Amino acid sequence: MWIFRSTHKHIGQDTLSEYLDGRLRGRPLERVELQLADCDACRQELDELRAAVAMLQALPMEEPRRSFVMSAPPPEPARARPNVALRAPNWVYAGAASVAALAFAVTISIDATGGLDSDLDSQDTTVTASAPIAETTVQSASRSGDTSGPSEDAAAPQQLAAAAPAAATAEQADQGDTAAGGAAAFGAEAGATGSGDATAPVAAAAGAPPPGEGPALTQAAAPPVVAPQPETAGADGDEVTTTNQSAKSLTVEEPVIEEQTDELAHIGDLIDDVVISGASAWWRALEVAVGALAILFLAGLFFRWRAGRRDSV
Amino acid sequence: MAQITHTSPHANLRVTDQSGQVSCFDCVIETHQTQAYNLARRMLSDWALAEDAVQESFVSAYRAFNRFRGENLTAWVLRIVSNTCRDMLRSRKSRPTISLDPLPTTDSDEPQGPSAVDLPSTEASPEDRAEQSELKSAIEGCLDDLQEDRRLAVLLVDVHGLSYEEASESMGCSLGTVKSRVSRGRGGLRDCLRQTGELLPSRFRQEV
Repeated sequence: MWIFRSTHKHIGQDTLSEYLDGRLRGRPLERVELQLADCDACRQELDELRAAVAMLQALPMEEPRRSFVMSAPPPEPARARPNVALRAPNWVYAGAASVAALAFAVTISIDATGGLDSDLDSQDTTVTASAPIAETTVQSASRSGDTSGPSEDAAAPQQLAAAAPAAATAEQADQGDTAAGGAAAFGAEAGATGSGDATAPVAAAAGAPPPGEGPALTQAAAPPVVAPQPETAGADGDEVTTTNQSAKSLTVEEPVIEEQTDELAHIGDLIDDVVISGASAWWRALEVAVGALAILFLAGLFFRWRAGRRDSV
Repeated sequence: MAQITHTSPHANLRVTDQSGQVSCFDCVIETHQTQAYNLARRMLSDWALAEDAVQESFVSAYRAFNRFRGENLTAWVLRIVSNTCRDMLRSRKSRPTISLDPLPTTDSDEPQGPSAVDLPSTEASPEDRAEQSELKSAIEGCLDDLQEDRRLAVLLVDVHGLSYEEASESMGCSLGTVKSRVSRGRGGLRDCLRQTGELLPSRFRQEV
């Protein structure tokens, strides 16, 4: 009995229904009949289905209350003439959808396989390359600051403290906002090199944009100044620590022309960064537009197919 | 290719199917209007809507007759009716479902066709007739509870006697889908009828 229960399999409702309609032949029919002989529940289910079908077949056909015979041909339906776009044949929609889908796939694949990353990588390299420059400049500034008096410039610690997180921000630029990274690097270098003027480096280290830059860059470069400065500076090693100590006496007067040249060079780097990031944004916008076009044409094709199916009946 | 010809506005519409057989379109209507009306009434659960659906279906059939390939006229007509009913059900979805109304009775004494209570047994007693009427209402109520596709499959196969292949043509789906829908429709109907066991015939009551 236990063996019977473990091997017994209830006949499925679909199979019973087909058996009831006499659509089973050969081995499936023999198998069902064998199972029916062994399974009381299956027989009961079959009987119930048979009774239900018999009741359905016994339902009377009611005569309609009126005749539907047409004495004259029905008038032609007045159809609104579709506009030019909807009158285009189906192959136009299918072809346009295929082309759009192909273009979408190409743009996505270029994006996914790193076609855009090469640009971004070069951009990141530029940004990270500016960080050692900032550190080097800070170090040179600290070495040359021995001749200055202790009370020469009270703002020097601020600019050096800002230079260290700016270098750290340049490393963070690998992960995200390139404009912010570029601006931070610019702030670091400007803060380190412009030691002759007390107010300009502080403003630069605080994220003040160079001439011609928008307020967005100012906001993007501002957070690194607020970042914990002592920890970052300490992590850079002893040189930075000693720089902090000796930076109070920075009195080296850098040539104004050299400073302006550096600023111009960094402005050029920033413009390159913005252009590259702008191209990336345009590429993404192109992907979205092409994808939307493909979906639009496919939807048009689907609605035309549905309308045609309804008209065909 | 089927073709419709008519010589005058009042002449019978004549159709020629693929085999060259000529018949009047009105004959097609007369032959199939009862089936079409019953299918529409049980799909829509409303006799007035069913009349509209059948009228609209025959107009569609007239316009689409040149696309009829002369295979199975009954399946083709029932397909048009099914599509019309599905469109009506779809457009009516936002509104509450109307229950199955009984046919309106007329005061005239002229003989009517077989009505809702006229089952084949002419010798049935009033009690039997009342029981049959209740049974019919129960079955139609259970049909109304089925899903739209399953209801259509059960109606086409079990009520209108179409084969699975014809039902597949009428429903515009595969044979396997028809089998599945018929099976599940029958199962759902049986489950529903179990709950109203008192209304069922004695044979079915014993089995339940």
